[in-house]
Amino acid sequence: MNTFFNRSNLFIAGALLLTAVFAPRAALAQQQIDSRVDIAWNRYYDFEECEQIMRRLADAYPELLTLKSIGKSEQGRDMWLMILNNPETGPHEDKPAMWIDGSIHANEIQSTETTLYSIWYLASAYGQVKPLTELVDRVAFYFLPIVNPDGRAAWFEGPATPHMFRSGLRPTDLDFDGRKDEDGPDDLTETGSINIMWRPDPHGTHRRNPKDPRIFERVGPDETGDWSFAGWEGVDRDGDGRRNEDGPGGYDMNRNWPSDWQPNHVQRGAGDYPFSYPETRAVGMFILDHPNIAAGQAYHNTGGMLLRGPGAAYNEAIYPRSDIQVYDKLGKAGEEMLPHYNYWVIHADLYTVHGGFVNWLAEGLGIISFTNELWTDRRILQSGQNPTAEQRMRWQDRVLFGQTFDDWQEYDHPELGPVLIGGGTKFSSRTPPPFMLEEECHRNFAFTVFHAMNMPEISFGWTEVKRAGAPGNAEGSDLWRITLEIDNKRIIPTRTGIAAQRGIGTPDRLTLSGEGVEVVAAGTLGHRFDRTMTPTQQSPHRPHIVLSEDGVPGEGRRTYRFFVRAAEGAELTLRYTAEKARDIETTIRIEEGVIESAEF
Amino acid sequence: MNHDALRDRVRAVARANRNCDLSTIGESREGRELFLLTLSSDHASAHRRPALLITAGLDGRHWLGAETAARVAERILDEHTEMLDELTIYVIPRANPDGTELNFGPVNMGNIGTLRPVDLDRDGEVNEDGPNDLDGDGVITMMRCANPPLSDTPTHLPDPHEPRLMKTPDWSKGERATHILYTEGIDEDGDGRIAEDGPGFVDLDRNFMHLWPEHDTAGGAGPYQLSEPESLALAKFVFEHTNIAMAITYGRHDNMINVPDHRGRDTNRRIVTGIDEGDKALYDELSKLFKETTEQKRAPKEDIAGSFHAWLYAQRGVPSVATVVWGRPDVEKPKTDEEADNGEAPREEAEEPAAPAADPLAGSWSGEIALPMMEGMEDAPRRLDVTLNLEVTDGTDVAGSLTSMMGDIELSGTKDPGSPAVTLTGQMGGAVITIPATAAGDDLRAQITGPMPGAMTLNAKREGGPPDAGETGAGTPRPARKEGPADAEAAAWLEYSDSRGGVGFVEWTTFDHPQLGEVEIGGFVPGFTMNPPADELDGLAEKQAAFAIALADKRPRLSVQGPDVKRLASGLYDVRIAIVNDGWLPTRTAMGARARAMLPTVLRLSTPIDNIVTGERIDRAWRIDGLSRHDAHWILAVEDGATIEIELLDDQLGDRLIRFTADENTTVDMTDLPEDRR
Repeated sequence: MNTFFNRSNLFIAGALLLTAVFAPRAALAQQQIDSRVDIAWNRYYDFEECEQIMRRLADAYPELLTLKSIGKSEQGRDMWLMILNNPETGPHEDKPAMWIDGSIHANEIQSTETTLYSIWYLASAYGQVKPLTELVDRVAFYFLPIVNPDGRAAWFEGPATPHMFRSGLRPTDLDFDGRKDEDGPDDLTETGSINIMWRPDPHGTHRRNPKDPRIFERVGPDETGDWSFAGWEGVDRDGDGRRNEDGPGGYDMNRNWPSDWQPNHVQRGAGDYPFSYPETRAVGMFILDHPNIAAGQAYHNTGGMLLRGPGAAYNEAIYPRSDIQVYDKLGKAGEEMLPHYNYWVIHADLYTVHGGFVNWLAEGLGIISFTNELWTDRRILQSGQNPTAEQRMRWQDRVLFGQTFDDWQEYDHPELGPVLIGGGTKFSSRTPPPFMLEEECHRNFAFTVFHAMNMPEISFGWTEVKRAGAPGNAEGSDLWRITLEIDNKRIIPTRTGIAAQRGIGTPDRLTLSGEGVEVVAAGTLGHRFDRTMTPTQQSPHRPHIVLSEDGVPGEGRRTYRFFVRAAEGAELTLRYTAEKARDIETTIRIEEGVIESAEF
Repeated sequence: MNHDALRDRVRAVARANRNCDLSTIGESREGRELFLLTLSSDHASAHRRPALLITAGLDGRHWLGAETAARVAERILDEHTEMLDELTIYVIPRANPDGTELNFGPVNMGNIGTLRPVDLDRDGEVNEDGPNDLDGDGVITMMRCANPPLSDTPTHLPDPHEPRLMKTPDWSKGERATHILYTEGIDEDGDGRIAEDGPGFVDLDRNFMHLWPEHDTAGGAGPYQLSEPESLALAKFVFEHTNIAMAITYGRHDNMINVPDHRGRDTNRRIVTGIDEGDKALYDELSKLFKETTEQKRAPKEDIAGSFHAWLYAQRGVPSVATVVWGRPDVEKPKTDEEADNGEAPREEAEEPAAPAADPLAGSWSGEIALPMMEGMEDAPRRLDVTLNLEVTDGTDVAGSLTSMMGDIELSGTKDPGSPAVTLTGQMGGAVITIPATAAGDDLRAQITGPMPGAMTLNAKREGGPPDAGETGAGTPRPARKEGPADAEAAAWLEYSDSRGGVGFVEWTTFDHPQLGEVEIGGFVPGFTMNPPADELDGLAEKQAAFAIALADKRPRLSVQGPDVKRLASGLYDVRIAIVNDGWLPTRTAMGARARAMLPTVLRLSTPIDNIVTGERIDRAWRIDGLSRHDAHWILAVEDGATIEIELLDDQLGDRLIRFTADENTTVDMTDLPEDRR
């Protein structure tokens, strides 16, 4: 074949070289991979310890990891972002990138360890594990392990429930009395956790389980109990007759994003306006500055869910079928990788969310994104069933040796009289026990990797150069017809259906250029066998530039055709640029011929 | 008035008046000051008095706004200083100095927004193909190209009734398109489109949170809410000044000549698109006051999605007035002999049609039905265009039809003579549907209930003007509709321009375009319909000042009445206190009370909760109506003669400490609340 194709993708060549160098290390199958940083993944880390882990990782893997602060929290803590990128294969801005964050709800603590684990595993595996090495050479990652640093610091430092510091710590007047954060819960029994309180009540709603009196169980409809629930541990500090009604913060940063943002009276906790908190603003500005982000996962707990948008029923219509197919492929794979997890739709299967983070990514920015609700109680018995109260107590006694349970203590409450205070510690629910944490981290990490591997990857595919013009004039004519396919072997398209329909970002662009080459017309074909083309909208004016709103579909291709005037043997350059895929370029010589694939 | 002139002017005002303080609320993207004039007799306590916020110049074309705002401030400072002892007036004369300045440059571009670089044509390049002043007349107008080559498709034709105006063809009248319309310019980036990616922009009045039009990049929505330094500065100013009790915005929006609808709901049913039902009376009265004070008759209806004034209302609960300041003027035409002879009525005013004697429901209504989302039909259209034709016989029997792409439905019903409401019934697919419909002027609203789940809402407008006077709709032949230009409003502006020697309209002139060949350049001068001749500025500002003063005069005026202490028994006292609003305006709109975006009026009682027999220790009033009061009532078990304190928090009244004793003849001591007790 006399057609000359010069595939000039040096980056890919470099990647292959590196893989070859490190390939022998991959033989250590089934062993834990060697890492330059030893980190125990069977324990949790407070804010400072997380900072140290990130510094150690950045120091140990300077060739891959960059640590930078993208802003300060409300109380002035750094928001540490880790960029994972191999600069040998190009700057991170030029590659499709995945955004991963944790602890926007700071009580959902394992989301941070899972993010840190992902950084650690990827950096360590580079050069040892072939698929991950290839992945790291092709894409970039932006990790923000702690979106809400103040909340994480507070959760580890002081008493908390498993459900508090969901909020950031900007003082907020939740009860509209002119005072901020003046009546939060109190650790009256000084156990280090905010527990719950039961008061004796002759007309109570609950009784103590006769087999295990530590369990308070609701009585039947025609029975009377002797205990009633008295709320979370605390006193009425501001003397307004209500307990714990204005605790620290009291808003939800996961309702503070631009898409379908609604004011507080519609969406509680939304804040005054999108990005009104320093934490959300820092994240928002970073993401807006990085249109190469092509995938997103936000780690939360709990319930074992891989959630996608929309957050509100009325936004169902903006998710095109093509995007839902992408989500389904990824989400169903995730269900298999994460036992007892469900791939669900936020508004339909959970609850309505306005102004949520992944809704902004998906609906505002056209990024395929999930919220991962890590850990489910269905993992306690490993049966897929939630444990009963008795089973849970036995699990706490026999497997966790009582470490997550504070025994009931009598307490003379200033407002309620004698009460019982105790129950689960702040570690007692929503998070895996330490011995299960590493598995939880790894399986989620693996799902993230599957998502990242399916960020778009485009290449020049089947390409044909033919003489064009009227049959009688073909020989010796300088008019040529070039037909080419752009392939995407991954699940995620270069432009999501939402991005195309709502005009988000910049469309993909295919340009043809070359000295002495004049492009006469350009168009698209349904497939390579189409006998006529559809001229592009701008073809009469600017045929050498083709803008594509739809981009290259996932696991598919798009076919283009140009008519050019050029001397035989002239060289022309084809360049395809996409915001969410790596740009590609190739040079071909004007000579009749066909190349079958992008491999070289 | 360009930015330098504005700076000179506000500085002069501040220098000349002890009651005026000049500062800024921030800077524009290009570093111009966002000026703030604070009018108050005491700048130390200005932020603790009820305030009127006057904002102008969000739209770069509405330079009338800053002219008016500056003059209103000057007039109040010169002639109404006494107001400033009790009330603060904040004036932000130009929120968009960058965008406005562009229109004061060598060429009036008609620029609306801020100068954030935006890739309007989404080709990866920014601001690369803006308009060009090809004919060198200093304004960007339009180009029209007649009989373009086959490669371009004509879309418009000169209006047969006013060939200077372009319209889209009406097939039913035998019209066909002959022209293409472009913005004045050339195709600088070679994409075949002309002037499609000019400077900027984000429209500040589309960048606020209420109904923010996400993804309307070309319309200037911005990448996110408050994406601009100017909009963020405005919003922060409002968040930090909770004493703002009223607001007036001078710009392209109006809610005084045409009061917003109180029934509209967004896709999210909890969000009003106009005003809350509970605020209808308030806005009707404000509108009346506005029309009386300013004598303005007309105003355009502009989309309010993302606008500043609508956000102030919908999310901050502030009574928020928006006005264009200057409506389209009447053109005085000497009657021709012919008109005088046949006694033809003068041109009808579109805004205030002569009240028709016909039945308010009779006529043809066209509008749309918002369809609920149905499972499995997510891709189905959510709006259905419909026409409702109603005939009324003897004022009571209504017959008609509902026409849509789904077919015709025959309807009938009966009503009281003269009533604008009727319940119509009909058959659809064998099922009965019921349609209670109410007309209000040229608007009709109906609920459609039937076999489908839930009700669907029909909003319709009267077609072809008011119905003819006549006893019955049926059988009376109607005179043909008065023929006129398709865009009557544009035609009226053109007529007005003509009456001023054509200053507002560049007559179409042939031009040899380098890319298109022969075209004509012409059209309205940008900003012409928003900005009056300079000699009218003082008069308009005088009227706006009168309205601002009248509005300020109606501000909530809060005072404390009581406490009244009654001894029920030794150690048991009945205590009542009232926060009285002697002003006409409520402390918050009904919307504000619903949104709970601001601190209510709070009364904090010092008596420990264990000694409170009845009543809340923290008493809250979300809204105190005008000419009304909020009552707080407690029965307290306290020692005879014990001291009782109430901490009163109110951003308009100022925070107070009220001290009295458990004694029927107690003296009441009221002071400012010390800072450390807020």
